[in-house]
Amino acid sequence: MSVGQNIPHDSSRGHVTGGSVFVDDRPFTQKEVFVLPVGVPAAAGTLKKVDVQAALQAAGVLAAFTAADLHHNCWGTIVQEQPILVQDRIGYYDEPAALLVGTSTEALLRARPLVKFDIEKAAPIFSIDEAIAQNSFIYKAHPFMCGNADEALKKAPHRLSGVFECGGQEHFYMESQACIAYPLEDGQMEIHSSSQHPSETQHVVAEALGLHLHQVVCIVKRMGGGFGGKESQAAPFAAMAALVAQKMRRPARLCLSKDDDMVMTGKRHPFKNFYEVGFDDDGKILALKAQLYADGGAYADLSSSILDRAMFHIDGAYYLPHAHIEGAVCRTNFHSNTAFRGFGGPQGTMTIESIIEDIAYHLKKDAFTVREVNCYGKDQNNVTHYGQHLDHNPLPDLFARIKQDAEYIRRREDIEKFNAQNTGKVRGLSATATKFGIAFTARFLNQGNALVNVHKDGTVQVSTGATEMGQGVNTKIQQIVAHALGLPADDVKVMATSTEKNHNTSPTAASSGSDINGAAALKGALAIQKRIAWLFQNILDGTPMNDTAECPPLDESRLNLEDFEFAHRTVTHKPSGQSFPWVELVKKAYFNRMSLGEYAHFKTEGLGFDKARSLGTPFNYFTNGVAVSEVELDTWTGEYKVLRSDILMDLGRPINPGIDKGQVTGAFIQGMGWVTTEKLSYSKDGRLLTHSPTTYKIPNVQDTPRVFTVAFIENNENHRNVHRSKAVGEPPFLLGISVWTALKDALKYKALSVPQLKSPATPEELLMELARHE
Amino acid sequence: MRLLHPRYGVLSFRSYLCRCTGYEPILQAATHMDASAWVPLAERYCPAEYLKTFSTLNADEIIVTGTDKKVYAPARLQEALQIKARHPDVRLVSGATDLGVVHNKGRAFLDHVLILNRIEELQRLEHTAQGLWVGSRVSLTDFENFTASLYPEMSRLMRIFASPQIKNQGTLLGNVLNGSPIGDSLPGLMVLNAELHLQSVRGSRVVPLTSFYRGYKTFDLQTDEIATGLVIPPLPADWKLKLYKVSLRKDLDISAVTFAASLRLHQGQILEARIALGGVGPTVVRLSDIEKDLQGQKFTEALFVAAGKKAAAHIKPISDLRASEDYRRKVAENLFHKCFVELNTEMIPSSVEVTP
Repeated sequence: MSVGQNIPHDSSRGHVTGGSVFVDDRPFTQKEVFVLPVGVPAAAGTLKKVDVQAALQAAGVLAAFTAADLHHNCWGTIVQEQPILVQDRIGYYDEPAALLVGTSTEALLRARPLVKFDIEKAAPIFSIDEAIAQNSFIYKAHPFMCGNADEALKKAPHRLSGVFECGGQEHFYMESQACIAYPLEDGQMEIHSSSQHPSETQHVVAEALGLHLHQVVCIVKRMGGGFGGKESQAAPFAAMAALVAQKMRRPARLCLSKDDDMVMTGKRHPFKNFYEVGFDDDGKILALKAQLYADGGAYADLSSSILDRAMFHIDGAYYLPHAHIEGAVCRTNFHSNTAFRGFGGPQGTMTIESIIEDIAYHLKKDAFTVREVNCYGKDQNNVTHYGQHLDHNPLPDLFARIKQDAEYIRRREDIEKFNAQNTGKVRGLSATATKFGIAFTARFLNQGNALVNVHKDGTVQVSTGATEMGQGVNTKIQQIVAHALGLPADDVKVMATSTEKNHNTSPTAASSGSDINGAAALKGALAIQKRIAWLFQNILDGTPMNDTAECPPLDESRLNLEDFEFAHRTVTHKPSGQSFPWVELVKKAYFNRMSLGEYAHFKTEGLGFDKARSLGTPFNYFTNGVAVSEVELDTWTGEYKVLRSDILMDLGRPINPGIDKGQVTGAFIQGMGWVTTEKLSYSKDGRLLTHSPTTYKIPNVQDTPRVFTVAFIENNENHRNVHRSKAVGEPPFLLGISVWTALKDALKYKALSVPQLKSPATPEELLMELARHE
Repeated sequence: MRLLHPRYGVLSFRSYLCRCTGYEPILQAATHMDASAWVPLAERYCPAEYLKTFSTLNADEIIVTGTDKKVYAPARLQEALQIKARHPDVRLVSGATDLGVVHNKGRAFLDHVLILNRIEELQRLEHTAQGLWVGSRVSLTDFENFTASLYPEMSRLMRIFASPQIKNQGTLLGNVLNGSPIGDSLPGLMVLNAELHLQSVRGSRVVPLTSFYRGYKTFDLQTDEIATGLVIPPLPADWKLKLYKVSLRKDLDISAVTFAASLRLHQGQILEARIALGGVGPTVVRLSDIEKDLQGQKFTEALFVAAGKKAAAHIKPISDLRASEDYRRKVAENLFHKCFVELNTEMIPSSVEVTP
């Protein structure tokens, strides 16, 4: 059967042969125009005037639009406070402030320098420290308190305090923000967008243009990567294209270059976290006090939820008997930071993993033993600092098995020897864990709907709110539906996501795309399955079905669904052994005027979190994993390589283990990039300098671990999710942190005091820390 | 069924960035396909009869004129020199690995260009009485392969210089004439005493690379001149060559600091020393003061540690998006030490003195 099998990604052939259509691959239509957003050359101040006259004179330029042309120039997923085009107050350098429209991209690029801005500059805020000093905040979270942290700290035999800092991260999806808006009759608008959230894109476009929601359709065939960067921030660019389409009554194409995308869109939030930790002689944490600061950039975007998730994940995989966690999002003059795989989780978890390394150094212990001592238990010490109980907690097993599989103890001994014998090179080894909470922390988002249509030849089209960004959600839904109806996967197609088929959808985010939409699709498929079984029952019962009589309405008392098996394009009544081809029953159902389509709605049950008390069950379940990484550091230059990484994950019963493995390797390398080479640099006036692959360095194939293994444990206990699977998108991202802690471990061999290491641990960061200990 | 070796897979994918897979699934796919079914592009698209037609057409000069745009693609050097003399502002295009990027991004518009790709005279790569002649159209790949036995250290550096595709397209002379202070080939070429050959309709001249660079991207180059090639003198067996490129990412990255040392050693004595550093000022520089300090001295760790400290104090690097001034100084200092330790390890059995 289809579920649990490694069928190929539904677009893999298309991706390799070039057959897959992305937004900018859509053929040009007559009169179509190109749109180029132009950013302001200042990070803070007031925009007095935009002068487009000279640009309009340039060859190939047809029109220009500014804030005044929008019906409603304000958007925001949580708080509406961000302009689509700069109105007056400038939020960040290169914030879109004007749109140039022309007959070719080259014409627009030539004309762009001719757009002149009259700006009254103001003093910008370029760091978390400056924001704190100037009381510039977007959001302050309700504190998380459990036990009495102050008291426990006082009594603790050992205390450490410090600050952990991590940088932002560019999503670096291969397909930049892209949208084509087609004006339709009667003022309607059809939007083809590279968006993780077609419903929000529809809403922002409608509002910006003064249209009702029923006048706008947003369609997403696929994205060339999203990673969270197209959750909220696809919408304003769609609104820009739609504005041009509305004003000019011509199709409008806005596809950003990588450079423009990088300077205009938000990134992962940098964090600066202050902490005080108390622990005993074994390294067991007795209390943690932490104050988290996130750099939200210029606007609220999703920052408050991201900070919340950082606070939820500051425990990592470790039990905190007493905790007091506070958090705030700073408002600065950078691009508005946004969702990025992990959504604050990595910034929280990395803080505790760094603290664990420091505890180990302080006590002269191996950090692995400190992790074992603190790991959440199975029967005790298994309640989080916000009161959620961990069911079937596999973390102790994961640590125990990776210690064996990765030969941790032997390799530690080898490293001790290597480091004693070598000049110029030092090795480090470290394990970290992920315990990622699955669910949107905003409860209302944990719902989805699906449309399942069976055609007369027995093939099936499925539509859901899930968007395909390469992660394989379409393939998993295809498998779930095929499995339910007993069909080969090829008989099921998952269609482009469209707001006219699935409305009020949630973003494909929070790792929940397959969970929510897969469950909705399953619900729809099962309703059809039941209808077909009922028809079959009536055939068995000899119910007359002819020109004068039809199959009667469902009578539950006459149907035992368990008797029917749907497999191999055949439906079998097990007690009688009678069977019919699926397609024959489908045709018969049609002639009996029975519905062969189903619209299903699904919501995740059992979620509830009391924000005022910071207590409850925000998550449906947790996806868990551990990783061990080994690095070798060149102490002359700070350069390093990852010698080996072993990953062990609990993904429940994967719907498609091959796709899940791809998610794990991809997320790990992306996480590793965040903590190593991916450094964002800005000029003194706040302009992003690292805005292309020339200067912004995501890992390449040579950076991947020389030895790289991925394994899954068997776990059949996750009854809380579709087919007992577990979400995979974000959780393994956090395991990339093991490369950073391994580098920190390597530093310990040269350190005279607790090594201080920020993230990303660039060669420069490492060499300068080594120099401090010379 | 013929399978690709996993290492070949890794090397082939050096030029690609993937943000989704972590590369592992791509490598798996690449190393599990039947490579015997693969037909090289040259066979598929360049059959012999095409090549014959191309070579007859190749003798003609090509000029394409459009609205406000002009492209010259001469077949002979003399034609190119005449065009350059008539149009001193024309942009020379060879491998286009740098200009192509700038053009694609709309930061430079190549409206008036002189393409050198069709000039066979510039393709020469051969030994001459003066040393290795590298014509200005010689690709980085050809240079890397040709120098594998001649200057193995140079060839090794070329491996992390860029991806295979870029090296097939880009030229060594392009790197030299781009003239960036972090041009990866420059420190090595400078300590090998390479000389640049320049030609114009007025005649030709030879400029040592060490005096070619006058300031940040300013050169000893007249507006009517075209560089035709580079001569790299041979490196006798008693010379040692060490080249380093330090960057944020090992592959496919632009350097923060580059270092080159060539030393003539005899019985633990440094007879001659040439040292060059890149990324520490507006041009790649030869450190003549330090070279003098090393010459005639015993090859010791203490000497190199001291030389590193002196170099760090001497250079004036800047802080930019690739690295800070402090880091560049520290790396420059440390590379002297690294150079000593690595050379010392290579020279076994060693008669040199090692200070603890």
